[in-house]
Amino acid sequence: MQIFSEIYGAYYRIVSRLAEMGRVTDRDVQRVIEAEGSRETVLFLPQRILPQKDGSDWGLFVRQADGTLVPVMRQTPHRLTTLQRRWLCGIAHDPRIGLFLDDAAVERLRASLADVTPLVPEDHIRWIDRYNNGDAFTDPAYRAHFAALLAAMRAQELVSVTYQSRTGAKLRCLFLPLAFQFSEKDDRFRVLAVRYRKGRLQSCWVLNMALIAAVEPTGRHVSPPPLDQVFEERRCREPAVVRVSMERNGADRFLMEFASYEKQTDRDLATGDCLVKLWYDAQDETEVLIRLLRFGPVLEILGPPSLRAQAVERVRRQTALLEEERPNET
Amino acid sequence: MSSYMELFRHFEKTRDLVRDLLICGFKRRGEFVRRSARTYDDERRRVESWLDGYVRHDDSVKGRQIAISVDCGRITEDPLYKAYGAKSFTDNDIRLHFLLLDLLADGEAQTLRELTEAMAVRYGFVFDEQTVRGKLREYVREGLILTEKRGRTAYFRLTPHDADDLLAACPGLDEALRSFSGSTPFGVVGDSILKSVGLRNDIFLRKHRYIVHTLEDIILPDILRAIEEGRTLLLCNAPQRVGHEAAEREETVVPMQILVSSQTGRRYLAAYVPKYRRFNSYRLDYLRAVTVGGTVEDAAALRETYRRVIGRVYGVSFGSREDTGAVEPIRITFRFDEEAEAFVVERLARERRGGVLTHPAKDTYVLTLDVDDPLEVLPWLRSFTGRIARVEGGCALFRKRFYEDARRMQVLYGGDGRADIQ
Repeated sequence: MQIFSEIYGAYYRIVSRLAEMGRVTDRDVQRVIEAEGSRETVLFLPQRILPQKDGSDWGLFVRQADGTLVPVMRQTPHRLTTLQRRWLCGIAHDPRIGLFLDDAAVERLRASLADVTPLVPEDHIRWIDRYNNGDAFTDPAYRAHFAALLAAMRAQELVSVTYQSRTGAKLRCLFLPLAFQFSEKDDRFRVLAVRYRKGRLQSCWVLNMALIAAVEPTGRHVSPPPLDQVFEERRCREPAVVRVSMERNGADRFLMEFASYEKQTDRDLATGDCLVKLWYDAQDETEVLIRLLRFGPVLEILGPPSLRAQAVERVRRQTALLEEERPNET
Repeated sequence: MSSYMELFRHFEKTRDLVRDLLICGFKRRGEFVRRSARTYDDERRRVESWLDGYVRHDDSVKGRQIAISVDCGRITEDPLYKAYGAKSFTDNDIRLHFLLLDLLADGEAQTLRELTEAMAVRYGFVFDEQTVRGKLREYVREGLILTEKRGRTAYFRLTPHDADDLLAACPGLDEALRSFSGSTPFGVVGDSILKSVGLRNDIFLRKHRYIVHTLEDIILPDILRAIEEGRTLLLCNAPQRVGHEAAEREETVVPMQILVSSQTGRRYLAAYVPKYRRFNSYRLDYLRAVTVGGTVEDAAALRETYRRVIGRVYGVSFGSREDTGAVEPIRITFRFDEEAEAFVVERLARERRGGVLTHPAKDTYVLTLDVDDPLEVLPWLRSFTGRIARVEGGCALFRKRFYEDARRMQVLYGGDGRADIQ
């Protein structure tokens, strides 16, 4: 089983897509390559698909009298390899599968994959720091809420959501759900949704799926804002600026841990320290602060002042607590 | 001089470069010493093509710095999947792929000779039987084609397992594919199914996603096979510390499990090392290559020992008495306003990793952890800065480092004049 194989590659997929279209024009070829390939695919692939006078093309498409192209093959079936079926077998036994398929469909899926084993057997992998209070993915109410929100996203429909806030208060608001967000660390789903109030879409909320008590369709449809726009609005105003030293392999650990963030890194060649600007979702500021503090004295938060002030306050409280305790052993 | 090609054959070199650009983000052309300038330029060009929009250039007097900067929480598709879609192939490879699939699409079994002749008659492509046999064997290995013997003759037919049929039979599978194609490991496999049927993910996002794991997935199939079959693995291990060039070292191990951290972005292979007669863990991103070896006689016994040992491992370290000396259970006392800061209790409960949490007095919680390597607890412990009243047990180095670090943090943040620094 090869994971890095041309049969899963972009070139094969583009040829397959064009063949499925039947008769295509040169413009179609260009368009499909642009949609399915990388930025430079258009420089390399067209001349292998379009018939060339010197025969240097693959010969899989033939030019017709009217200038269009037709494939030499009649069918390009989408058969699954063993690698793909084993991956499917893994998701068929994941507790989250019931969020997407009803019980009968789950059984049909499992039955169709009964002759293969999951690509990653459960006991071959161990999540060392995943939180132990993940969502109850198989709970019937949770599944119903998930299905209702997913349907609303596809239909671009406003839904009335009853939500339990952190303080325990129940809120009932109109939302346009935009996307699901899954966290491996938390083992839970959240929903990005724009609140609808006074006849228009307003701020974006992030709702914990586990705290949703009810979802009701309204039959009212609204065009969603682009996700990029939503993220831009949620982005921190100023990036965190941190200095990370080489001590205890700090720079390496930091750069790996924060590889999932938008960032800009520079390095002081004299000391080896890394100076990093880090952009994050403003709502996640506390999480970012906690993650930065995990590095201890090998990392210093330089700015912005508001973020540094929070670190200063926590360190001040820590110092006071330790002085209060006065441990014998230091 | 060879000309640049978009497709490539060896994943390892590209994997190295992408990791450097994604993780380090500050290297300049001259600092990529493991490859020639031309190779570097070719690989960089490929990466820029796949990661269009995520590559950042910064020019300074020190030279042009190239980095990949992706906010992974807001992407619906891992851009590094494109690397897996860029394997090079020959003209015959692609011709045989589409022609064989077309000839076998009706589900009927055919012989090698029939297929070879049909390609000449129907499409005008003349292949020798050896070439066609090679491709058929390859596709049998991948499960795309099935083979059966009738007498002394081998017959070939297409696997009946069809992605479109499965999607039609299981409503909702399309959304599941969209969601799980972002999962780790092997989301790239799900993505290949999704794209083959013309679907794309548009609404399923991942928080705490490390796309660098996608690069490591290339070595996982061999590791998983060795675990499954109780075989040894020859590791080519090259720790790539920032600022240091990696030195390669080969080690033979018996693989046990993949350890994944959802918070640090690191994944490890936990393995038994016969040479040292102990368990150890190896970062997957440091493993340049793995080679599956022979079967291990006492694999079942080793696995049993591993199960017992891993229960005392807090993260990935199996501990070394040379470093830590004698180890006793860690006892951490937390003090905070439990009414105003109830979320801290929640955090302790969900993040205690097998530790025992008690509540001896109002506003005071005590966590007891019995682990092999107490030093591993420190990063997590520091995330409670401001609420730790006392740390006891573990080992002397653990306690010393905690209290010393607390003092150094006071020096870093204790002065008042730093808040103006930008």
